[in-house]
Amino acid sequence: MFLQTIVNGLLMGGVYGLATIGFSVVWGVMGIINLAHGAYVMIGAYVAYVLNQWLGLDPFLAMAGAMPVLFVIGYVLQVALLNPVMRTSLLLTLVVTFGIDLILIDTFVQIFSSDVRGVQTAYSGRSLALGPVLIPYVRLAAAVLSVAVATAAYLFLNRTRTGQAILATALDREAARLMGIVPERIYGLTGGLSAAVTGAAGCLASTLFPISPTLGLTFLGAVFVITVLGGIGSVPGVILAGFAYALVQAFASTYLGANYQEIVAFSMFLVVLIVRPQGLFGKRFYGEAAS
Amino acid sequence: MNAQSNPAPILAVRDVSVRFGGVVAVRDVSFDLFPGEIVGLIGPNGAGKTTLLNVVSGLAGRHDGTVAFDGETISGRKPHVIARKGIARTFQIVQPFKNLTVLQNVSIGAMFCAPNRLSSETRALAREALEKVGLGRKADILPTQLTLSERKRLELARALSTCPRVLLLDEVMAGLNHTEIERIVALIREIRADGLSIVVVEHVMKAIMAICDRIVVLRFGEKIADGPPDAVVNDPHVVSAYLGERFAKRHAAQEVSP
Amino acid sequence: MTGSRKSLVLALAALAVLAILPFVIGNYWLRVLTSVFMVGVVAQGLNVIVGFAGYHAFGNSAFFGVGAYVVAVTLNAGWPLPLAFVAAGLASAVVAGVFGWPLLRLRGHYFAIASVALNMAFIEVILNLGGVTGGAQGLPLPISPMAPDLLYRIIYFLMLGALVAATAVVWVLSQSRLGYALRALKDSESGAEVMGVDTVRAKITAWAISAAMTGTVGGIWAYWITFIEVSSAFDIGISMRAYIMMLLGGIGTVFGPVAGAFLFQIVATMIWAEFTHIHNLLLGVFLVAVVMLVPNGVLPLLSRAGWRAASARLGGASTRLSHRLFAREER
Repeated sequence: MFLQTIVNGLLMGGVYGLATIGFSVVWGVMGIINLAHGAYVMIGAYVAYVLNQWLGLDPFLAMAGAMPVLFVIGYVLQVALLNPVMRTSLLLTLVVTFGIDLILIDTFVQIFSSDVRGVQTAYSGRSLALGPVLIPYVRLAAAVLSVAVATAAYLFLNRTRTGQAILATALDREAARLMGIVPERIYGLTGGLSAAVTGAAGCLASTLFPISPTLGLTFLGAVFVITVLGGIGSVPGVILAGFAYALVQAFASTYLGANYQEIVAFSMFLVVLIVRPQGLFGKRFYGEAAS
Repeated sequence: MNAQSNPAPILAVRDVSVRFGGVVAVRDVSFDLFPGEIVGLIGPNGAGKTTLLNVVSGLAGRHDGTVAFDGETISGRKPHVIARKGIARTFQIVQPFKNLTVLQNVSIGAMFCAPNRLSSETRALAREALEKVGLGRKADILPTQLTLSERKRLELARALSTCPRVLLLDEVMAGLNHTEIERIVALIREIRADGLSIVVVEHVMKAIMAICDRIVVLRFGEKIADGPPDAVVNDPHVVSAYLGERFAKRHAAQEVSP
Repeated sequence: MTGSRKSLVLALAALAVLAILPFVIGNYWLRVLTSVFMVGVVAQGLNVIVGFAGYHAFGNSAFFGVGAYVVAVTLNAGWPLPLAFVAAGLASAVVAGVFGWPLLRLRGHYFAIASVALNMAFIEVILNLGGVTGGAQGLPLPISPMAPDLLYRIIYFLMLGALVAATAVVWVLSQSRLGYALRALKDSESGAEVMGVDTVRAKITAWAISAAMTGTVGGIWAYWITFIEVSSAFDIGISMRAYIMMLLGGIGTVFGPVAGAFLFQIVATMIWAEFTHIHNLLLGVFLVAVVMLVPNGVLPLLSRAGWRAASARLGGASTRLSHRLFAREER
């Protein structure tokens, strides 16, 4: 029981972490709390669903389709709607992203209706048995892939020129400008890449959760909690926090009942916010100064 | 104006230390401020001057040592409690309330330092503080429309409006030109004549020398000198703190040789 | 100060009209106006904590929900109606006081998301509590024995009364020491503290006032619609719409949120009546459009309006501003 609970938590943690990276980086680099972030997860899941229905494509392979689609959405929204308001006030960015969220969700309601859907794979329902512990193949694949994509995102940010430019802009916008970086272009790129990574998480989520236009709302709560736990803008922190969050949820679910998962998560969130606002794993960061 | 004629200090700082993480910002600093005195607090950047003012006004958070105001221990009290007891301060980076007019900015102090005051008294007090610093005619504009010199004086007026007995001034002259500095110096003297005791943190040495009865020198968080202005500026420790060891030695040699 | 007298006269005239209207208009417009008053109070509640204190309480809908559930539960327990409403306001204020103590130490983004988390936490708690709260099934309220025509008119006046009371509170606040303390700490908390302002107490008081307003209308709303569930009572969209109204009318002003509520709710109702099935989509477009059109043209005006309000001369200016805004919207 105890071991199975740990395994359940670890299997889910990766997806939560991956779904949070984009949100955390956007907050860290641009000081934007993107309330439409959950919708990116949802769109990623629908891309996987559509490719699965039409072409019979495996939802994990659908990442290759979802990431470019979401990059474009994220880039366009950032450049057209968020760049103009992001430096004005926290209030305006929150209102705009909330508006975008409503638009995206309602658009998907119009196209796909509010019905709940799911994707099937050849190996759905099969599990790997390790002694008393059962590991469903789907969850294992999702966990492994999410860590892989997260690692790629981390390497991109830290090992490529573009990634370095994004981090430099996060630390000091004016200094970055002096180094020849155009902040507006970096912001567009950050918005696009964050959405793309989140879309990948959406594909993984399509195999684990029922797909509906409001799928993102369930994620948004977790995303908030994990961002704060992990420290804003920190990819490794977010991944660790994703596992921590999922483990706590798994234990709450096993020992208190499934209904208590969310309450435990939110209590954890409020406590961390108050006691250690820089996050469990994070340093004090840009996002704090921008308000 | 010295310890013998005024045995009871109005402000007594004792063995104060402040740590930020592993860094010691202030270490075991003690000094006194006697009634009617102006004490200068000087030292190179990062010496812990502002941190020390923050300790006195209750903004520094956790620290060791004690601060006593008029015999009563105030360390650990909240900033607004300390303010209401009669210790006012200005900030190095002026912090006007941007959405309140100049007069309203000053009224805050008058309203909250004696919460039971009548509103007519509050208004009169705020007016008086504004007139004192020469901003009477700017009462109804927004602080964003003031010049730097005016903003520094607004900062002073806000402190005065709280009816303080001790005033802590953090670089009220920084960035000002000669005439403006002379104006502030005259103002500080006038405020002292009204019966206040003042701690001045300042980099403008000429002004410090002109107004202070006593100077306390900090370096890397420690007190290295405390005495009358003339004695302090000739103290070899102080000279080396400011100008480096080599210059200090040469300076000392020059003092001896002629 | 003639400006303030003029806006007072205008407000009284408007009030007189609003007092006669329910005997003239049909049920549709009665419902629309009732909801205008309701969201107006929510906007005034936000105004206190956001406009005055500068704390972005995005999750203020939590108090709307708390008020709704308190009224539902107490009425089901047989409490008299007025007592239930008072309990709703008080309970919300207490919740704000208890949670405000730790949460109002957070600033900027952190407070905003913490308040959202509070709203979400209430949803989860009620879903799990079940019992008298109805849990996931929702909670019906006792049906009033009054004839619907009379009942809806009473609710109209209840909401109108709440709006007048909330606006009066904001007016008093704008003149009071607490109001000055809040506007001071909005710009610089340490600056306010060293001038003797107990910022912690001021912020908590402000949030409690804000919560009491929001909770009371949440309670009236529950009585009005007679069936509540967590998704409608703790709908974060309530605070979002109130935010937009405040933006439209002028943040930190006395009459701005009221004007914003009228403009937003009436325009929105007229549009949505035509397009019920894409109503969220249109709301989203509207939110984005307002923000995209506002910041370059009107934001400087808004901030200027903000300080004019500090001397409570605003009323007229904010309405003019909103008119101009809406003129732009319609073009």
